[in-house]
Amino acid sequence: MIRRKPLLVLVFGFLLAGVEAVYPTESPGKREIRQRYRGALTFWADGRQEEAVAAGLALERSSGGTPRDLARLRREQQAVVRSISRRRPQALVPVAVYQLGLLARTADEGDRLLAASGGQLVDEILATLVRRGTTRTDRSVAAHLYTAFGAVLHERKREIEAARRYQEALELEPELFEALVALGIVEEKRGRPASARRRFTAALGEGARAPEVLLRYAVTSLAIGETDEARAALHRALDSDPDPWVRIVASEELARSEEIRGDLDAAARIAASAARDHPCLTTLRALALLYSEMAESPLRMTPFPRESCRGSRPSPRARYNLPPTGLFHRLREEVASLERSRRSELARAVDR
Amino acid sequence: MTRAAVRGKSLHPVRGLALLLLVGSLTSVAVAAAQEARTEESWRGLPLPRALERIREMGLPLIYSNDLVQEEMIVQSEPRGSSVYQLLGKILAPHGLTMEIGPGGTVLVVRATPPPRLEIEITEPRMGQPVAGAVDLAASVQGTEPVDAVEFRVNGKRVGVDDSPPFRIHTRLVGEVEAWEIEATARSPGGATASASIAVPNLVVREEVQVALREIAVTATHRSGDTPDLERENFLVYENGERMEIVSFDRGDAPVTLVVLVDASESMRGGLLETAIATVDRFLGHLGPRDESMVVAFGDTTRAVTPFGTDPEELLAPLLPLEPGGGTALNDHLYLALRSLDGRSGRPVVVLLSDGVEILSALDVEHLKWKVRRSEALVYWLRLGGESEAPSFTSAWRTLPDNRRQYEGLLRLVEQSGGRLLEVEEPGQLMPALDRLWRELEEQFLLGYYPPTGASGWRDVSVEIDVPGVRLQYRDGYEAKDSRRKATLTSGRTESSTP
Repeated sequence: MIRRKPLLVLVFGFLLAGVEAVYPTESPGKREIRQRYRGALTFWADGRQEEAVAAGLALERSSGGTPRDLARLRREQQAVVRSISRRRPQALVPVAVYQLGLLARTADEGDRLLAASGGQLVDEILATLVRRGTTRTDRSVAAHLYTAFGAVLHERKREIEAARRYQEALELEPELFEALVALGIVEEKRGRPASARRRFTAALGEGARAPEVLLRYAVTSLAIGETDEARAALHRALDSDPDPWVRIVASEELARSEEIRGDLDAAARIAASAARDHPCLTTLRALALLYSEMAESPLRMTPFPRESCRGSRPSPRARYNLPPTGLFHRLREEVASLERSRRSELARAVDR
Repeated sequence: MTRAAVRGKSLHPVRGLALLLLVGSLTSVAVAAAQEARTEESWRGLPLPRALERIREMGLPLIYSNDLVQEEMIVQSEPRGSSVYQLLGKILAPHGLTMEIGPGGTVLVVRATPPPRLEIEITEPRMGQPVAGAVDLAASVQGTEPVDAVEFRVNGKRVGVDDSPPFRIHTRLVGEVEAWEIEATARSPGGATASASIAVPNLVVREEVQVALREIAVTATHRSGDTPDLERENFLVYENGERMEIVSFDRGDAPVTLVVLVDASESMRGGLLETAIATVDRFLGHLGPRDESMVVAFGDTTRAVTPFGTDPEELLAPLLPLEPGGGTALNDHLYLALRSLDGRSGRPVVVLLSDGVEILSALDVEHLKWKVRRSEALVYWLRLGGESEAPSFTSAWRTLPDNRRQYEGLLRLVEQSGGRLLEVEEPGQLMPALDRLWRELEEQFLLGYYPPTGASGWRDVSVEIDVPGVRLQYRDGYEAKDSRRKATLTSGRTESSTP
């Protein structure tokens, strides 16, 4: 009996190996996870971005969907990150950028990754970067990365989580323009116009003539009854060669400010002029027709846009809820040079 | 003597010649006159067969039937013409006959086909008679052909067709126009058409005051759920507490002018938009020839819009490729829908199908309130998703209390317009809800009265009924403008649509 036991174990072991060979488990093992994650980071370090992202997404997809599988995946990825951090902390910057790139990839993938606590990994990487970073540059880079992470969450309408990252960024670099504006947007959306206005004021404090921020400052000013300041800011925004969407919304708000002042003729003129420039926009058309009707000044304009306008165009107002135009792009540019210089660090840190 | 006698009896040769010429010419004139007289006598009054015989004698190979050409047919006037063919044509024409070239160069006498003749006259309203509100349009048609149908148009827009005499339709004329251009067109199966048009002024009392007929749409529901059978005498209408005389009374069949607003925003995913479109398709199938509708799909912008029409297929075609997406700009689109109905004839109605709440409009609910008080349209809101609390969210444009104000304000406006909110908990309930809505429109009473002169500002309207157990639903007032001021601003336009 005693003799047969090892034999039974051996047979049972062979059987299990055979089953595994014929029906391999879907979820990769610990060792494989580490190897594949390192491989993806190596691609990234070598500047082979597409391959790196593809490898990263393939790893995410291959892991089982159960909480246990995901926890194992994160655990092994964290182990790799800790290993990199121990050897070369500076190499965490490209790793963080890589992970953010994965999250921002496409809406579906990004949402899935965030749901699978992919955001947690980024948080840990950034926290490690902040903890280990000693220079101003390190803190500044971390602030930028927190802002970028906030923007990813913000675009996915996870405003509260986004606001926390923007605040982290501002703790590291209190005058970071993008973080100030983005946090102001979230606060405004959460119904705190006065607080939002303070953020926009701080962002404009550097003398920036950013039309988008001027517009946001004006809207919050209108919300708290500062009509004159709002009007001045709107005029400045319109004089600053703004993006079309900023011009449109600024025109709407300027017309509204005229209505508040009781000058319906002026409101009608402003709205009608903007509506003629953008004949497919319903909001401008509605404002123009309403103010002209209230002012009893006839306006030759059909109520609805013509058929040629058919199709889905995002409303400029919808853009207003999103992080500032090009925020992610600008942040990416700022960290790109650092990232490039530290890729070699990453390459050395990754244990092939 | 003899010579003298001879001289006396003989003629000088020149004189003889002159005498001869004189006698000759007199004779020829007399003969010509006699011939002329004989010719005139020979055609006019001649029986047609004799006349044709004479023409045949003139060398024309004429063939005719005694059935067509009869003794009692008389040549009525002296035919004139340079050829025998012209003579023949003139002789035959008064008898409904004509000629055709037959085989071998023969000339056949045949019956002439008279050109189809249709004449139409608009008999109601009379030229110059001011009209507005519920009116009858009538036309009389005369002619040689039967009539397929008579189509009536007002200011270029088709308002009805009647296919049997007496040609008459009932319609409503409401609009801010100076005059109604009424056109009636009759068509025969053979393709003949006849048109008549008249221009009549919009109903307006000129000089000191301008008063337009005001119509209230009243939905009456008995507590049993049925629609009671009511007459004009059952209703009492008050404006600012003063009893008004009901001058027009209509029910149900007054044409409807409809704007259907379909929410195509992100929240309509999961088959909701498809269900909404299919249901609207069936709903539009109720439209009669005098009704019209436009359909608008909206999100944060206008996604698709069709011009006013009656064909559900055409009205819904632009919506079919739509995928739900974007936010919701409800206030903007509701305002534009109300604005689209301004100045159109027919009973104005807006039907809103939406599960969402206001997020992205440039207009506030107070703007909508301003417009609803000046519009005559009934607003029905089919709220998908069923009864729910006011939304608890903020947006970049509005705070939480502000968003609640938008939502609750819209609910109030729907009631104030005389329409109502229909809760639809599941997509499957949408169809019965719209059927119920259409029945309600069909069974509505339209009470017309002339408001007091010089009224301006908000006017409370109340309707009472002397039948117990009946609940009434109607617009509870309207914003009256100063008619004289309006007249100045619009060069004498009437106020029938925007009192």
